[in-house]
Amino acid sequence: MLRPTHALLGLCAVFAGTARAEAPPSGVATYALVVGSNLGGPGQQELRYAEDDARRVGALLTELGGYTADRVDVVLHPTPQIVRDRLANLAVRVQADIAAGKQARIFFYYSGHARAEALDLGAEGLALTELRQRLFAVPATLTVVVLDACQSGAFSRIKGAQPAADFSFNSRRQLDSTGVAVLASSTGSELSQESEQLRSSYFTHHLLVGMRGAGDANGDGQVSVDEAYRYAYHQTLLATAATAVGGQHVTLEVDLKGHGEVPLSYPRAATASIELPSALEGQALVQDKRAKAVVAETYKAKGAAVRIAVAPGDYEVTVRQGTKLLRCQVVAPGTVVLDRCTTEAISVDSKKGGRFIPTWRFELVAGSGQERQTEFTRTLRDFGYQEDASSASEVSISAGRDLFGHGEYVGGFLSFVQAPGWRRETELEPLRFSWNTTTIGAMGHLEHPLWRQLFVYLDVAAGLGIGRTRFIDQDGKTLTNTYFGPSAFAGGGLGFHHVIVNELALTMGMRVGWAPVIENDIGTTHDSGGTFLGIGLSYARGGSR
Amino acid sequence: MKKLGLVVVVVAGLSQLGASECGGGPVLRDPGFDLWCGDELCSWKVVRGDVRRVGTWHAGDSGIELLGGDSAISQTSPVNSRNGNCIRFSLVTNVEETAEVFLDIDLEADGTVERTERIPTSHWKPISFLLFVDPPYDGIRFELAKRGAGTAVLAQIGAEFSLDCQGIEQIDPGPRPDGAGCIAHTDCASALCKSSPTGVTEAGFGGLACVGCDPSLGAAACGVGETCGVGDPLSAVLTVPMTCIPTGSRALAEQCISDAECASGKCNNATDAMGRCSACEASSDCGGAACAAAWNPGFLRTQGPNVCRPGEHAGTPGTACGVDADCASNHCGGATYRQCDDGRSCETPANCPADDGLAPGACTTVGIQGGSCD
Repeated sequence: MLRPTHALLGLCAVFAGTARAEAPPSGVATYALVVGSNLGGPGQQELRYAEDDARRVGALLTELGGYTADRVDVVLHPTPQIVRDRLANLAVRVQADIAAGKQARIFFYYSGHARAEALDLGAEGLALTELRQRLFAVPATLTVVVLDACQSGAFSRIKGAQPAADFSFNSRRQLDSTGVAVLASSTGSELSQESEQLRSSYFTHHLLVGMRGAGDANGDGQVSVDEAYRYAYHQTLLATAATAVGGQHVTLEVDLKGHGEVPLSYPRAATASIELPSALEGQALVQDKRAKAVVAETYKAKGAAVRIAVAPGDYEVTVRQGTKLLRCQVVAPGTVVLDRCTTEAISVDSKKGGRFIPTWRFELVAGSGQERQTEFTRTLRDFGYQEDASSASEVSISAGRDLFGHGEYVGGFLSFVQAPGWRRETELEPLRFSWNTTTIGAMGHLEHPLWRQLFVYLDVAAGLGIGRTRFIDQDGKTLTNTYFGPSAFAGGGLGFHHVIVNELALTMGMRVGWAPVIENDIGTTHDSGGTFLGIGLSYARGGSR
Repeated sequence: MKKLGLVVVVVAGLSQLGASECGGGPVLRDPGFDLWCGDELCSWKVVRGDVRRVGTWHAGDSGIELLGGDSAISQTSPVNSRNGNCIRFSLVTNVEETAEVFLDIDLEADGTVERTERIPTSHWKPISFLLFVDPPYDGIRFELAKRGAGTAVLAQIGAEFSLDCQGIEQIDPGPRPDGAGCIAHTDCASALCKSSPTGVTEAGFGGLACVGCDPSLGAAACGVGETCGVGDPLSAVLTVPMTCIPTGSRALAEQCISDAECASGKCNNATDAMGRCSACEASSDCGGAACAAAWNPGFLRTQGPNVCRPGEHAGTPGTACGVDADCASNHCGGATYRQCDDGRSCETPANCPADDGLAPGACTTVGIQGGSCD
């Protein structure tokens, strides 16, 4: 019987003491099929971290899950047929083990897009009905299914599945080591979310942190399905409660027989760990300095030490305490020494669907380029003027708000373009002429992620152009004029988010400006502007955190 | 000082040669009408009618509007055939259909127009003409003339040597006037191409210039009562001409090459060179007192006429003088005498040959012509 679980179990992960840490029984063969796909179906945006999550899950199963590398099958951006084939292979291997008198446990993980009825693997989908049938056709003793996808809780509501009574902590006693457990990242009606800062989905990240030891509530050195669920449920809900998409509820549905817990990982068997001391309190983030990856994020309560199983190496532990941020350097295995930590500040926000969605965005751009050559400039040449060697320069500032939540910003901008000067020599002082164009108006900015911090962007803007000309005659007298007219520009380029401070990004791209505002006395209007290569610095500020 | 002057001449010569070989050298001064002497143009001369300074593409960048039914401006350029034969003349114009604007090319600036080009109607469009001149020539006067009631504004009038004249019909300078450089007698209207004591032009071959009479023949070259002497300057781009003039017609301080030209019967010239009609030739003419130049503006500039006891305030009334200091009354009566650096008389700098580049030479007041003490 499958049983949905939605209870909030506020339990901090504590792993202390010297409880037993077991590996899988020797008579049990363990297999894992881990699937990750960033591709979306029709109308869906590409995810950023689904495949990375799959890699991490595969690695952790080998490191702490008791799986050998040859029995962990990580499949990235597959077609439905590839998933079918891998499941068929898995069934054959399990069948062989059973024939040899062994029991078999299988672990199936999927991270990617999904709708209520199917997993979205690019242009094609794999119906949940079919997935369920194929998974359950594998003659394993125990099957653990972990789904990290939107509406993944719907896996249990497909045809043939029956809702069960609410799960409670006490029901653990009724579990044994045979049957099916389904851990899903969200309910049947929720969206699952990715975190730009964690570089992972919230769910998978917290599930892995729990499996590394933070979820070992009873301190027995292994993390059971039940413990992993409790930890992932609490941490994911906590982390997503304030996002624009809203809280995300992890679900667990089980149909198990017999007695005994179902272990997912054995963190006590790890070769190294980082200990967060008992005196430490706050939201802790553990980052692998060499891999520049977040290994764990957990709330550390005061009063008990916490150990996170990690690979040996250099780590940085940052702990947010209200407005204060502690930054601590640790070599694993090792313990955070609070006296050696420095104090700083931090902030981040995110949503799943593949992108980082800040509410406000500000940008400063500086560039240079060639002023457009027109009838106006040809007239200047006819009258004996020569253009200075210097190029046109541009400075602009903009502010926009993400109105639709997909990286489409709409806002205002102010730009200033200084065109190169022109001069004509005389026997007295040279005649000098120059102009600049100030534009104020509305702007749209569209961003689309490409790879890791890299993204592509497009800008369009239109507004009022204000042109100012300056003429200095041979006697040094200055004459100025001001003109008004329409102005517009469009551009695009590449951007790169800062590795640590994600709100900051560096952009570089081309802009084409057009502002027909400057006129001369013989009826020629100059389309001010031109093509500019610019470098910008943007700051995106989330509105809800 | 003399050596320095020689160096300057050589460097200028090389520069001009460069212009001839490669093109690109400027021919006209102040193409943008930027130089104003009060309400008048400094480098352009209003030949007829009126003109007005107007804005062009910008109010601060001037052009010239030719007013009325007949008006013209001109500028004489000192360039010659050693500088180049191919000239690109360009300008920007705003000429209405009811106005006719012409470019007149007057080689040697002697008043004879050798070529006329019609400036087409346009609205602030650049226009250019290629002018290919048959050498030798000394100087060109460019005249822009307007007829008709319509508006005609000219701006950015420029001319420079070019290398693009292949296939262009050459402008024949025709018989050259006295004072122009020449190669053969047939070049000259007078049919005399001779070495002239009045100076040489750069265009002339070996210092030859067209002369109105053979200076070596003196009075024999002219009719009765005349002698071959220094004529009135015809143009700043030409040397002072040699021509037949009435005997004894030159007053004190005027240029001469022989005594016969002077009313005083005395020309203080060296052999085959110009001098000035003077009051004395030696101290013996002054009763043993000093006979010397009334003014001496410098080594490179021509001296004044010889007078007795110059600068001693000794001249009694009626005594020949060149400056006030020659007279006891401290006043030398007569016409004010202005001269260019080469000694020729002038009224304005426009009458003087260019010293360097395109700018005219100085016209300096030096003394009194035909002076006698009051």
